[in-house]
Amino acid sequence: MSESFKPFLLTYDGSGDFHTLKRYEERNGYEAARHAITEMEPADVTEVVLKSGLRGRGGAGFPAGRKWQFVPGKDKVPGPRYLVVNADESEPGTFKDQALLAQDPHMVIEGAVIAAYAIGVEMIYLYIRGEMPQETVILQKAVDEALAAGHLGEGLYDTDVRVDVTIHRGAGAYICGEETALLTSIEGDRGYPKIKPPFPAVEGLFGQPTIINNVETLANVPHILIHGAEWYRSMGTEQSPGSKIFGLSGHMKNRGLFELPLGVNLLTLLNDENLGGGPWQDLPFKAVIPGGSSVPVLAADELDVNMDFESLEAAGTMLGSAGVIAMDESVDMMDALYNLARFYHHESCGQCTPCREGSGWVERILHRFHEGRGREEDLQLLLDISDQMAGKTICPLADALAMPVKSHVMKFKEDFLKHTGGEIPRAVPPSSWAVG
Amino acid sequence: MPRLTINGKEVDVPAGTRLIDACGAAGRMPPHFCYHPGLKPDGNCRMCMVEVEGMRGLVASCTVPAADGMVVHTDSPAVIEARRGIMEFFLLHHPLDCPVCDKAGECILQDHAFDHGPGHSRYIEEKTVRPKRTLGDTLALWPERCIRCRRCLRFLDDVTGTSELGFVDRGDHTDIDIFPGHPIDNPLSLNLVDICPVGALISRDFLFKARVWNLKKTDSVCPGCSRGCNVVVESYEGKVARIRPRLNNAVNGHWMCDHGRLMHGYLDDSERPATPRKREDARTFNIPVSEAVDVIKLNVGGILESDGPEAVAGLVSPWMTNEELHLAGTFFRDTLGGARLAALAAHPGESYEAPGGFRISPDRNPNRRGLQEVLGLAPDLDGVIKLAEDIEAGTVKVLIVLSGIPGAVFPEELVAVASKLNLLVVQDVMTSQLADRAHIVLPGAAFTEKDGSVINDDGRVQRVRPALPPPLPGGDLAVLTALLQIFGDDRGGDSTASRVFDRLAGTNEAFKGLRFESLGALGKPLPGAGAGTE
Repeated sequence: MSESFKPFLLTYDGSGDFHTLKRYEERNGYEAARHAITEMEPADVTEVVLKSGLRGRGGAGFPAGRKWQFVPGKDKVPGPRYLVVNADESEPGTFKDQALLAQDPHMVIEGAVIAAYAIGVEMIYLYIRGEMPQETVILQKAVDEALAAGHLGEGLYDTDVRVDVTIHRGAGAYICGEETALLTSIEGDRGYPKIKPPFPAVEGLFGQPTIINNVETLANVPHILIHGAEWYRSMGTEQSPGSKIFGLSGHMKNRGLFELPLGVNLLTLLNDENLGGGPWQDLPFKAVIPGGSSVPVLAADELDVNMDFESLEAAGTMLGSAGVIAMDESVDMMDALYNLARFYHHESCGQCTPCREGSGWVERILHRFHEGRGREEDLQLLLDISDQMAGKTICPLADALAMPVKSHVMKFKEDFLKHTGGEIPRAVPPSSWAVG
Repeated sequence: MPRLTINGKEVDVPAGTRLIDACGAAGRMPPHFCYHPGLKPDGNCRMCMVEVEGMRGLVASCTVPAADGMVVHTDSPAVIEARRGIMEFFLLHHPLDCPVCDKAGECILQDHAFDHGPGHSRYIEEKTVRPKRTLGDTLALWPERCIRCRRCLRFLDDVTGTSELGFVDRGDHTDIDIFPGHPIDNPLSLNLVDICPVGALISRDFLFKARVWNLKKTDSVCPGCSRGCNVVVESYEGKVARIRPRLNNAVNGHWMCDHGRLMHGYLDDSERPATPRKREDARTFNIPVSEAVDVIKLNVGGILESDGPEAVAGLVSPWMTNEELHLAGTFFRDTLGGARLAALAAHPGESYEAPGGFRISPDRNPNRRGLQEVLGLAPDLDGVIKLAEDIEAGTVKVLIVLSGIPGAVFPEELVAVASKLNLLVVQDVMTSQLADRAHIVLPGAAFTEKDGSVINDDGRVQRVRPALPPPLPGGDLAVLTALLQIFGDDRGGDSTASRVFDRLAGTNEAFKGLRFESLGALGKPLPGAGAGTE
């Protein structure tokens, strides 16, 4: 691990007022925003972010600067533009955005303001999941402080630039983290992903051009503006530059958030005494999910892989949200999958057929396994259902279930076969013909 | 004009065409549930997926615009496999209660399961159970059959703008439901039953009445108002079971209103005149139509001689077809030498305009325009009351009423003086106080028993076809022909609707150039008719 790397996203020192504006002014203090707004053209701001190679930190890894460039000019599409900060963090195994919002809300706000300036946005919607009430309070206080101090609102830094923030709370739906469902939620409707095209950058919130960025993505922006694109590229890899917050949870000794350059080896991340610290008890690792539950799981012999977008893709999985979940030999991988299936079934919005029906089917099959009543042919059935779901839906929630199903079944077959042999109910009970 | 290659065949389509319609134009419409040409596409059922070279995976063709150069495969192995998977998903929780479901025989789920499904289910878990309930006066819901295609929500959002239905809950617990205390209540509610691809939304009027494959289907138009929405009258065992809309983009689009669908109840009224009747003092006798015609000839002939044609009057209505009106005009004005003609109409109702563009006219008569163009007449209550005064004064001694309007329309003033007449003939579909005082009652054909044409309020001439036989063979046209013949007028000689219409078109400028056989299924505008026709 590089000794010269100094974390800049996670710098919380444990003090009680770290999140206030007063303390933030000792750190970045909105200098990057001031510099961008008073001394740079919007297009130049985008250029810096583009050159830095910053890729989205929500899971998809799309280059942020390139996404900002998709917003059409006002001559093509008149009317307001919107920036939406996606703080709906709900991916199992992921808790980095929560920490950023609770500890360093002004860094996130500053990043959002710079992005807003680059795109021509005057209203930022900060969509925060309903299950984060404390972070919402902290965030609202930070927004109020920023507004009072002239970092938000009209006439920023004696220019005619105006940026405002509206905090919008979610109400308990993982699907609202999907960008178009997030937009329909802000618009007051049920969180239903929309068909793309049209893409939000062209036709988004209230029909206007909209950019949606993850919290961590925007947290990087002030630092890129201050230290430059070259500096950002000096960390990480060629295709995955910069630093990343990795969330470690599960059966390693040291659990929590670790900020490191992209490209760190997973075995190092898991076992280094300053990082994961190795298995928490004497049982070795059995399986590790590298990027939040929606990516294929890695077996114990597949852990020698670098944690960046391209390496994990080559290994048949994904970096995703970098939520690293480690499971030791005590874990029954069938039960682990059952747990995940219950999540995805519960969260499926129900809009399109394969996910709506398939997610429930997968959970019910695994429930049978959980009761010891699985069948060997159910393994192929689970794989078939995954194939019938993946790639056939409006949004990737179906794929997010399909990938764990396929990887768990194919890599940990014995854990499933252990639960077969019980009695199978013969027919649908007559109660289903009941009226009323 | 984008040019695509679909299944190896080149197809040109207008710009803006959706890929699903482009495939349809190439002769291979992908199977679908949530897509409906009268609604905005939703892309949720995933059944319409096709393969487009160069695009990753399969695409939902209803949401993709047809683009120049696209190479499309609608039935590649991947597509067939995908359809099988989607069908298996659809049937997971479906109760498969086809034997007791109204929709059987016209159910898209049945059709696609047969054509594209795997033929068996691998699902051995429990199926979800949800109780059925009503959603309003016209509709009932069987929620277990619902496939969440959202057609009903989209219809109520975009066409009626009333949005009574919404989704509740999430995932596979998603159901459609009404807001408590706000049932579905709009003039177009029964269209939901048509667009529901399965038997989830059910018409309470049609429930359990008939199996759809036993229904005899007759194309016609609705008489409920002057819009003349194109319909299919579906009958079973001699009765109208159901009336549904027919697509006509120049008139009603895909829809019709509940009033038009449900008005057929009067057809089953047991008091409807079924045979000609003669009344002498307090007693009535069933008589053959020839005797009725003889009685009319005797009485009318006598009055013509003694008092002249001014003492004879006819009352017609805008529920008569163009052909009936033409023969009636010939009879009263020519054959009788100038008898008086007046017209009554059904009372007006409320007009309605759906935000999505469907209209109900306040004029609740199907052929006011025909009355105008064929006879130069307009319904006129004042004129009828004047007629009543003349009857009381004794200057009008014979009145022949040709109505056909369901519902009471005869003003009290007329009923009061009916007994003064030497001869009162009433031909109608309903009994009435006026008919009770008539000397001769003739059973009129109901609108669903007529063969002919009517003109809607845009000037479109449309065919009316008989779904069921009229009480008298040949219907009202045959009665008018018999009257013409008995008075020695041979022009009524050939009384098919087709020949009468062509004769009308030959003599009436307003119909110039039209021919009965060319009216077709969608009708034709009067030459010189205004906007709204095509």
